[in-house]
Amino acid sequence: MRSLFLLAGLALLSAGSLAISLLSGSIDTDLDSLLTVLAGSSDELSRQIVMELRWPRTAAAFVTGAMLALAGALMQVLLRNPLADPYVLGISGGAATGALLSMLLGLGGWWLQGSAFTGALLSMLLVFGLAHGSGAWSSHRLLLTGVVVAAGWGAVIAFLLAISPERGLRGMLFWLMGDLSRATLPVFAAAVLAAGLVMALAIGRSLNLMTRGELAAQSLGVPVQTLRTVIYLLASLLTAFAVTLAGSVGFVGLIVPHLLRLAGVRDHRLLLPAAVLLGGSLLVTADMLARTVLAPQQLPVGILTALVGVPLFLVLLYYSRNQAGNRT
Amino acid sequence: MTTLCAEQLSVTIGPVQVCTALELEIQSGERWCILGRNGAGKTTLLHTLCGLHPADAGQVLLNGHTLSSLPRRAIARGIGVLLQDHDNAFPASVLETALVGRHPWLGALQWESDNDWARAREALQETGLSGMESRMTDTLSGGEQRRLDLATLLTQNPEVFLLDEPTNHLDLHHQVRVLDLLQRLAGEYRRAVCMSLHDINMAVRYCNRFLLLFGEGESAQGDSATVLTPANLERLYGHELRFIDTPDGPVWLPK
Repeated sequence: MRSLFLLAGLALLSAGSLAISLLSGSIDTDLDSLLTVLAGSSDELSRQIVMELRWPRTAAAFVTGAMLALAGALMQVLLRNPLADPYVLGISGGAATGALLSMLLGLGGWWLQGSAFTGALLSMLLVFGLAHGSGAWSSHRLLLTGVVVAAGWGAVIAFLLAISPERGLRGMLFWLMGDLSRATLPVFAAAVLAAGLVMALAIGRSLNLMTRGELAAQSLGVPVQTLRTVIYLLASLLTAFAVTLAGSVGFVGLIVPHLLRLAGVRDHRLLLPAAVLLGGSLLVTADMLARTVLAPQQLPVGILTALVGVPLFLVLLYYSRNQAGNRT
Repeated sequence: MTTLCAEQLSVTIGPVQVCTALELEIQSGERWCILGRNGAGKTTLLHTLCGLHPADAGQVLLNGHTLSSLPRRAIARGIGVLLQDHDNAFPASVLETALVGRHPWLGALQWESDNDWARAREALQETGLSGMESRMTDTLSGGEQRRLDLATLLTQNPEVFLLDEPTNHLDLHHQVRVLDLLQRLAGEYRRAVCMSLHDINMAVRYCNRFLLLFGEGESAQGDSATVLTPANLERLYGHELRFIDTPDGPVWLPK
């Protein structure tokens, strides 16, 4: 019952954030005209502004945020480390290297997205292969491999920034901080998100067991090796699609699952859909602020996710520690 | 009738040879105790018996099927294990923790039914944790955590219970309660029980079959009269022992 309330509340929050994002921009749109646009009976200009400018970007923000939050929740279980985020294993580093290379070569559009995605996949396979090594892979080994590969990508990124001409730097920095201004309507990514959520829900109870420790999970009938591979591939692919859409938007993947865990949501069959809704709403809100706070100047959305997320997270953490103190 | 068998089982961990060509047959209603000094490989042997650790040679059979041929879920319905360590990176409530024992009995997409919740509550009652259902696991004491692990195992309700030092962290009263419970599982419910213990006197009182791991792959097994001899036990622990005959059976004391 409580879980239904939570999901309903988060669905309302998502709808609200989507609506507010569609309403805000350099030209004021009120709720009435938004409804007429959605009903398909408005004038051409409002239709264009809402459906061709704001809707693709808003939808991309929602899908990206949702994917990152889902991937973050999965990574935390995989690495059994509440501090893990979707980028900890170097996926975003690989994507950033691909994206920056294509920018350096002056290639945009599909080239940019394609090379970002290729970079992410390359990094994913590299870490997967290396962590396997000669023996069995443990989450500890996976974490070490991923962190070191990520550090390697970091050096490559710094190198690319250092050698790139001045005029390209701004675009690169925006990409690295997460930027939705290039976003197109994410039809395929939305399908990937939906499929990813369904798969994650199907292994939801096993994920609950994985948080008890791998040996315990195995003794209770979870095929841990297989499950680990599934979680890794799922989380990595979601991350790859997210960074391809919007660059490496920070923070959403770390704090959204955490906000929910701190709020006492522990069953992954509830936590994962809740993370999708909350992650989507958070990024839509952050992007709306990124577009409007300093308008006409646009900010990289990554700045806003941290500015919105950090205080929210700290308040919850402070509150939860007090609660733990009361318990003991 | 359930049997867990080891055939020609050789197990190593690191440089330690736990057992060599071990033949073992654990049957319903039996209460086995594995004795050995620190690092002799009691835990590793228990892990091998439920498929958590690979054997170097030989095989383990559950009701005639080798463990390696069974899916994990099928193993978990047959064999449950009380592990020594647990992971508290993601704290959960006591009731939720006991409930995960139902996992092997549920389909992939099935949710826990009222019956499953009732079993978890019952297991908490058996282990003296009633009233703590909503406590978080990271606020439990060592002994309470141990009893919660046991409650999870009871919720799992396997045919074979493997227990790695079930009395660890428990106070005197709870040691006796837990061992009484295990004795009842073997007696009334015809479960096969196999535990590792450090307390010889508790072992003599609650178990009827013994496996002694001497190290270097050597072992001895049988009932207390055959294997629990002063010579065997002194060799086992590398320590001199004295024993006193009492009306309740022999009591062993270290010199």
